[in-house]
Amino acid sequence: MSVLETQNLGIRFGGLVAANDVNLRAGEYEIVGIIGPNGAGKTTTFNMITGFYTPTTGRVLYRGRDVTDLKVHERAALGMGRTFQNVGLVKGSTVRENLLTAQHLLARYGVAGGIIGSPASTDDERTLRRRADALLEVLNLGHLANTRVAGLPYGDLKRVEIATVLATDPDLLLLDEPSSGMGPEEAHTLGDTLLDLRREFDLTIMMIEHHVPLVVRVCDYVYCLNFGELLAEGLPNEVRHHPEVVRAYLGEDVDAEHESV
Amino acid sequence: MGAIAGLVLGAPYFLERRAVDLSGAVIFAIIGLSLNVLIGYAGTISLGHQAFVGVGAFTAAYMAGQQHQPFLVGIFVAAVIGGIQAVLLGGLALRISGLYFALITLSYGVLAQESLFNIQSLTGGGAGAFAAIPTGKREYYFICLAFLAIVLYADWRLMKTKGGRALLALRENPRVASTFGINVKVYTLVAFAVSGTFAGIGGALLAHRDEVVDPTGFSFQLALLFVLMTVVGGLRSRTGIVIGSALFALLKVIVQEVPGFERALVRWDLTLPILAVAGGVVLVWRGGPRSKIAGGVLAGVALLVLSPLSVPWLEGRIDQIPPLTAERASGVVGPIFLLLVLTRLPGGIGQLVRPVQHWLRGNPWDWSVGRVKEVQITDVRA
Repeated sequence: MSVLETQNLGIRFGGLVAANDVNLRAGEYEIVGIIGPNGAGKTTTFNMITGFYTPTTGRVLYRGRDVTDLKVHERAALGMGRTFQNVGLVKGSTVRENLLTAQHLLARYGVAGGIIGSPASTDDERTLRRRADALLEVLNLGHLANTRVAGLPYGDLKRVEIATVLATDPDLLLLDEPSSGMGPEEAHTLGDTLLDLRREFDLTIMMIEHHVPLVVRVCDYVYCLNFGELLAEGLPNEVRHHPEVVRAYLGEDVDAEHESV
Repeated sequence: MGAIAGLVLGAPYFLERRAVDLSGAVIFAIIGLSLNVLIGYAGTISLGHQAFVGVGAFTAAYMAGQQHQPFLVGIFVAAVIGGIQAVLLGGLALRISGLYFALITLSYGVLAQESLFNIQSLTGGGAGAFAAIPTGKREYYFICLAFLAIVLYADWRLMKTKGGRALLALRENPRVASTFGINVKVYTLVAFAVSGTFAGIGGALLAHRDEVVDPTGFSFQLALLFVLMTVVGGLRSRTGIVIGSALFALLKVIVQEVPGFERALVRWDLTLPILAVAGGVVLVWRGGPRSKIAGGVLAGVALLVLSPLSVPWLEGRIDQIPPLTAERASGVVGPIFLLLVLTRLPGGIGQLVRPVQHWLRGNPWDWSVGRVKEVQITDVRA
């Protein structure tokens, strides 16, 4: 059974069809890439998968269960974690506080228990803190634990965001342009990190990504969207050289594509 | 630390006839903390907080006066009722946000004052309800302090645990909060419940301090004062809010107790030009070229006003403006403080306090600790 499946997913905003008939599938432990030019409907599709948008047509299946009508936080509770194109962090808090906040569902005490300082709450808090610090170590971010998010450089923000979404204890990770703002070398390291994380945390990953070498290296399967519709799908190298994709995504000039890749 | 503790604990002894006002300062601190939960933590607003407090006050008076329940039972019930009414109002915040929600809280406050607090059987109507003070005036101050300590503890615990973190996350970015699995609607209501509970306690304490509660005491002006003292104290800074609220509550006392202060206020037609001369001199002395000119002009004009020379069109006009009294001090000082905070000191008093706290923990002195660069957008998103 696939972890995530979208069936004929579509949405229109007034007269504008932002996505139409999008069928995606991510199997257990797969890393699936979504590519496509700007405005192709990639983030819109993510927003429908995670529950920010209600699709006009189609369904979202998570481990075979129809989750189309669930709220964002309910899908998070099922194990969907996502990052945002413009960094989804609480900027006024420190890095560690963000990881603690993200473990909201792992804290089993209630708000009132926390206020009166019940033993369960202090126990849980200790566990959460240990887990947050361990996650930061895994991603080599330990030195930033007490830094306020607001002042961090963009590349660090992206990695902190990944640590934070891992703190929500997801099965399925939806990453929106994880390598944006990174140089080629950083992006390469990110590729290693993603492969490591998949192994270590038993993750299925679906990611929107522009950086083609990264997609080719880590993805098991790639979808290409254009004007809200699926243009091509297949193995990374097939999609990359698919004539339609080359035309739509990488420009008309095939030679220029080879240079840029 | 010891000096501060001594000042707080000793205040009712060396200002004995002001014990009632001092209790008021402590109660205002509780109310400021209550408002901070909404504005500072959850990023919503209440312009009807006088009604939150009023509900607590009338509940306590009802429990004491008509049900003959002991003092502590009354406070407990007031806290619960305060929380419930806040959640009911908060339910609206889930559907309406921003300016319109602010407008609704404002209307709720006025509505409560005009109708709810005038229900004869519950509140005694216009005549007011009675709630006896359970102890002597000085001892009552310490009871208030004890409740402030409880509220401070609860607030501290809230922010250290998942509830507080959820609130901060949803204030800054509800979308991100929901991907963390936080139910934004539920936690907005949690903020109202906590705020209403604190306000209920504050109101109950206020009722027993005054011994009589009547609806005219809960006008919109009071709500405005609550918002002012919370913002000036510094959102999300417990210490700042306690200081700010106490400051506003004690303005009248400070004006009357500090020698010469009240006279200076009453003769503001003299005080203001003298201050202007002083300010002008400082500008000429320390300022840049442009400030030097402005300072010179300011001082010159102020001297002219002070001089026995009569300025024909000013003559008689100044006298038409009534003198400032201690009673009205907060109405004038409040807006000035607010302006200062919004432009020069976005972190409020809390921003001034943080370096001190940092230093007291054994760190080297550093002015820049806890500096807030600007009033955050989310603070005014309401």
